[in-house]
Amino acid sequence: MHSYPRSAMACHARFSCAQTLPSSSLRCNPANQPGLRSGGVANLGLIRSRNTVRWGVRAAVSETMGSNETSWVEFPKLSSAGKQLMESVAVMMDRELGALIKDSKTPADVRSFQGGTGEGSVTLRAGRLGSKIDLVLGSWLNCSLSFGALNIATLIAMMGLTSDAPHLLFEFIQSGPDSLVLVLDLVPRTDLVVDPEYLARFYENSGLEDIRQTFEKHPQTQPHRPSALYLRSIVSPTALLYEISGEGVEGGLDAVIADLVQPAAVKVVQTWVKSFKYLGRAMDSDAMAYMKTRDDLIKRKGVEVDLSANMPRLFGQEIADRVVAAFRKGV
Amino acid sequence: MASALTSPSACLRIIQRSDQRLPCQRNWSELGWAQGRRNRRGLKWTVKGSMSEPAMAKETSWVEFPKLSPAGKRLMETVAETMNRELGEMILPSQTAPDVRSFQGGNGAGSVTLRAGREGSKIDFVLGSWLNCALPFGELNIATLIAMLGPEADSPHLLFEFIQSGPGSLVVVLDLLPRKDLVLEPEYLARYYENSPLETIRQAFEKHPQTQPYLTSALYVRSVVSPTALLYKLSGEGVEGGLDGVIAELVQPAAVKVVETWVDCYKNVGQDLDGDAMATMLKRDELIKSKGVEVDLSANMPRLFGQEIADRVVAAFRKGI
Repeated sequence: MHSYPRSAMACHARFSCAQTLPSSSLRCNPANQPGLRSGGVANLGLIRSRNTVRWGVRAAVSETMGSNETSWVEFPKLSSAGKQLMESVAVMMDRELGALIKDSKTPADVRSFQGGTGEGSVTLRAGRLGSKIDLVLGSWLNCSLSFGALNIATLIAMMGLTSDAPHLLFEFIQSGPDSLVLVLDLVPRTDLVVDPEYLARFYENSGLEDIRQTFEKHPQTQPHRPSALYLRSIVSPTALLYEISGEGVEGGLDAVIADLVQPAAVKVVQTWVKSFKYLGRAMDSDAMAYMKTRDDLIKRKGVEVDLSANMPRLFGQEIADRVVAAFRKGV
Repeated sequence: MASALTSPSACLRIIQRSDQRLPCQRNWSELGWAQGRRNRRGLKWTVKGSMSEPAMAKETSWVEFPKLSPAGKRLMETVAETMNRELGEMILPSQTAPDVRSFQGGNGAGSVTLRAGREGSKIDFVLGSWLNCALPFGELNIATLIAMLGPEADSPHLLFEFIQSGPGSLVVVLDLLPRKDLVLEPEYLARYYENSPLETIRQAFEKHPQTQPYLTSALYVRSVVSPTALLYKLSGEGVEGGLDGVIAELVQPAAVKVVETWVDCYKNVGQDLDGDAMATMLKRDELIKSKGVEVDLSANMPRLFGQEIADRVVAAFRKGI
């Protein structure tokens, strides 16, 4: 799958495990390797020991190589079901995109920052030149607010101009232990009103509407309308936009996440992978120019605004600016 | 002016023309023009009213909704009347064939009325229709009011559907349909939607205990509507006054506000377009008409009224008069 030379792998392992940040041990955490996953709670308690460092090096050369590529982003602050959800999707993205995306070059002070009553992490990986991918982003924010802990976890894949396949947008917004807002969508690259063929190719002929209906019918969900009208305009007609409640349910929110959200998210991401691997088409230069304008607007007015909406207030303007700058660089 | 009047419809046109000279008359509705009783313009109308009343009556009630409950009838007819009054001379009298203005078949009856926009009005056409059928679960009523703009200006279309299957439940679709890709045109989104009361109106529906969000099964129609579209199922169960109570109390005032917003957009907020932009908009509107409205209009018709009537209605729709 990956074709990194051994020396580079060892180098990566050394780099990540040499860091002294709290989350560094998790990058070497064997529980995050797909083949070794034990389900349930990840081994958060792993101590940063010499063993861990050595294991990390070994992992880099084993079949689950590139342990830090496989877990290119982690979600340490989420509940166990939330963590498993977001990390499965991150792993899928990494596995399926494989050689199409480069290693992250995001500065350390964007990959980890703290301020006010919270902390966060934003990781970007650029698409390889000529690949269909523009960039992927994985991020989390965690804050203690008056009502409880706020957790915002995000995974995005933005497609480049060599394919017309949809972007992937996944947001997990939890404010308090019992309630979650989920946004999960294949974001269209074109105006569906003038392009019914695109609607048919990526949406009507997919399982996305069936997945959405399972959410609609589920007793623990309610439709969610983002307050930003622009964001409402970006998403597709089959977008999962739901508030999910754990109240009155055995196992609470984590059970609903494991039971409803996790399988659905896997299916949606598989649909997205299939879209860009098999259904996307190359475009002529006019179509590419149009799509570039549109994608730039989605990035700027959609993702960037969404990403930076809370940051000045929670972390201060300096960190907010730093994150936006990294996003604009896309590496 | 009185001596120039030779026919009821001539009278109507002259009165309308004098209205047109007054700039941006937004309080036309307050003048009670349709009832023609209260003020100088109304008095003029009433004086001639005895001559022109049949013509006025025909234009004022260009479409009626005889099969709906009292609150439903009042709702749809208020909106139809508002459209007629506000658009006035901008729309021509209907030339829809009588066998499309009234048809029957199977277990039901229906009516489709079109009125073309006048040359230079920027309006393509307006449509008013109703279908009524007795079905195994009860009575089906579908009432529709649409105004589609031409490509000379960019203001939104108006779409209003009232779909009642049984006495306890209703689906309302009420929207200002965007003429452009909102993702590509955040200025358009701001001008017509962010800077309007539409989101506030939608939130009143969202918060109301008798409503539930409604998503049409047609993905294309979901793509056509705006981010502030009213797409709701309403229930009258367990409420005093039942569904008619909810219609009168929630839907009626909201519908009036939405239509007033649409009128304001058409009259005051639109921007003219250059040749390229017009061509793009025309193409987009044609798709909305054929894949959206036409499909929606003819979805049930073959099954309820037979293929012949369905074809006749679609042909009239394509003519747009």
